[in-house]
Amino acid sequence: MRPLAITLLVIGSTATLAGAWLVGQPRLIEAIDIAAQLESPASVHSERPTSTATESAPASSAPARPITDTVDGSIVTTKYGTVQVQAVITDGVLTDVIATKLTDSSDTSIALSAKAAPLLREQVLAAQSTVVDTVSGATYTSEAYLTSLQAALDAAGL
Amino acid sequence: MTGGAQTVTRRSLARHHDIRRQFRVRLRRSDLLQGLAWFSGVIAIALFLGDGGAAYFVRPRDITTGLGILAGLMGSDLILVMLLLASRLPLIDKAVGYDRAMATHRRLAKPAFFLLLAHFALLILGYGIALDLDPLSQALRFSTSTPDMAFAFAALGLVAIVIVSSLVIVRHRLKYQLWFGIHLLTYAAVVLGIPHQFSEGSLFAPGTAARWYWAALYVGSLASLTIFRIIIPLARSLRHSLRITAIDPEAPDVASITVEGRHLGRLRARAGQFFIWRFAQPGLRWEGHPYSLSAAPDGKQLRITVRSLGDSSRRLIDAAPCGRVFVEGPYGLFTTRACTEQNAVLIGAGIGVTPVCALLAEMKDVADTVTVILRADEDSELYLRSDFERLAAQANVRLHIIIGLPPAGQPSWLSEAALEQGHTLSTLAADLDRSDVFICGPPRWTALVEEDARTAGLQPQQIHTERFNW
Repeated sequence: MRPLAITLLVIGSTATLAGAWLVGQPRLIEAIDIAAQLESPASVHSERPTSTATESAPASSAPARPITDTVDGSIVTTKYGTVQVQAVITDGVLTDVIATKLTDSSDTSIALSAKAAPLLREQVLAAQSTVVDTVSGATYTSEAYLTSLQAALDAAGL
Repeated sequence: MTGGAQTVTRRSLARHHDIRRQFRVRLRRSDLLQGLAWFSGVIAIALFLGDGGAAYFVRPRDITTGLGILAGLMGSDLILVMLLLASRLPLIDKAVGYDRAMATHRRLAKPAFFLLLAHFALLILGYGIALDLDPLSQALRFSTSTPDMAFAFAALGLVAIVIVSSLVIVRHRLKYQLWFGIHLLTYAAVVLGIPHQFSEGSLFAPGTAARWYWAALYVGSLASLTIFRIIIPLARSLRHSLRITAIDPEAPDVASITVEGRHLGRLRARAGQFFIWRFAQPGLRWEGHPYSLSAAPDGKQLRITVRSLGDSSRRLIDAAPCGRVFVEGPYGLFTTRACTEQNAVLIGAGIGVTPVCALLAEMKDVADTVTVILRADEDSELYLRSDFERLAAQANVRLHIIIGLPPAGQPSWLSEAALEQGHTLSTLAADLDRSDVFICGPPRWTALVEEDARTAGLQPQQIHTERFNW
C-alpha cells in the first residue's frame, strides 16, 4: 500500500475506534459501577428492603383445595445469555416464580442476575403482573425475566 | 520516413500516457481493497466497543470471556476476507490478480483457524470460571445447550478433519479431486458456524447494527462465491457453447487443444490470461485445470497447450476432439494491461512459454521493443518454437533461445553456456530498466529470474509472474 493510503487507513481506523469507544462508554461506566457494587456485598443487601414490604400478599387468598400448576415461560435470548422462568400458579394466583435459566455470559452477569432475580420475583408476586420496574444495572436480565414470565402467564390464561 | 517515425513517437507517447493512467487506477484499486480488508477488522472491534465490549475488561474474571469474543470476531472477519478472495470477484482479479488473491487466501487460513480455536477455548474457560465448571463440563454444557451451538461444535470438528486430511494429502500426494472435496468441507464448516453467532446472545442480538453488518457480510460473500464461481462460469460456458475442435501434437507429451464456440469475443479474454478448464470427457468432468491461452484470443477460437504432467492431462491429450468444455475465467494480470513501461521482456521456460506466446502476439503491436527469452534444458523441451519464430519476425522483437542445462551446483535461470558467455538479464534485454518483465515457468526458476531482475534495479511493479502453467 502507498503511504497516503496507509495514513488514511490509520486515521480512519483511529476515528472509528474512538467513536465506538464514546458510544460504548455509558455501558462501560455502568459496568465499573456494578463491579464496585459486587466487590462490596453490603451495598447489594442495602437495596433489598425497598421491595420487601409487600411480601407474601397473594398467599392469603388460597382456597381450601388448592390446584397448583407449573407453567414454563419462553426462552429469551439476551446479549448476556438466555433466560427462562417457570410460573407457579395456584388457583389462578401467581404464587411463585422459579428462574430455570439466567444470564451467564460472564462472571459479572451471573452475579447481577443472582442479585436481580429475587428482587424481580418479589415485585411480580406483589403486583401479580409483569408490569413492574426493572432492576437497575440488570436491564437485560430484567426484561428477559419479565418477557419469559409474561409468556408463562399468557399460556396459563392469567 | 520522418513521417513514419513521428507517427511511432506519437503512438508511443499516447501509450505512455495510457500506461501511467492504468497503473495509477490499478494501484488505487489495490490500495482500496487492502484498506477495506484491514478496515473490516477495525469495524469488528468498533462494533464490539460501541456495544460496551470494554466492560468485559473491568473485572479480571470476565477478561477470558472478552478475549474469547474478540478472537471469534477477528476469526470470522478473516474467514469473510478469505471467502471474498476466493470468490473471483472481478474487481479483485483486475486489481491484484488471481494468484496474489489466492496466495493471500492461503496465508490467512492459519491465523483464522487459530483465532477460532482460541475463541472456542477462551469462551469455554471464561464461562467455566463464571459458572464454576471445569472446562470439560462447560464444553459439554455448551454443545448441548442449543442446536446452534451443536452446529458450531460440528463446524470446528469439520475444520479439524480438513486440517488433518490436508496434512495426510500433502504427505501422500493424493488426487486433486480428493483435496477439493475435503476443501469443500470448510465451506460447510463456515455455514455451520454462522447460526450460533446470531443466536447465542453476545454482540449480534436482534435490532443491533452489528447484526445487520455481519449478516450483510455473510450474505454478500456467500452470494459472490455462488455468482462468480458457479453461476457466471456456467452461464458463460453454456452461452458460448465451447467445444474441442482440434488436438494437435506439439511434442511427444505436449498437445495444443483448440476450442471453438459462439461469440467468443464477448468473453473478453486477453492474451496472457488463463481459464480454469473442465472437459466433459469420461473421468475429467469435475476436475478444473488452470491453463493459460497459448495463442492470443481472436474472437473465433481459444488455444491452450498442455503437457501431460498428471494422469488427467494425459487423458486430455488422448481425448477425441468433440467434447463439451466448461470454463471459469478469464483470469490473471499477465497481460499488456499490467505494463508500467514502454518496453517488454517476456521470459518463459518449459511449458511456461504458453502464456508468453499469447502475450507476445499482442505485446509486439503495443510495446516499443519486445525481448523474448525462451529457456529449455534440451531442444525437445522447447515448445511452440515455430509460433515464436513467426511472431518474432517483426522488427521490434528480439528472440533469444537459450537451450542447455543450468550449471551444476550454482542456482541460475540461464544455461551453463550462457553464463560462461557472461549473460545476465541486462545483457540479453536492451532498455531493461525501462521495461516490464513478464516471467512464466517453474516456481524455483521463476524466483531466480525475479532475483536477477531485482538485482538489475527493476521496481516490483515492473516484474510480473504467472505461476499456473508449467
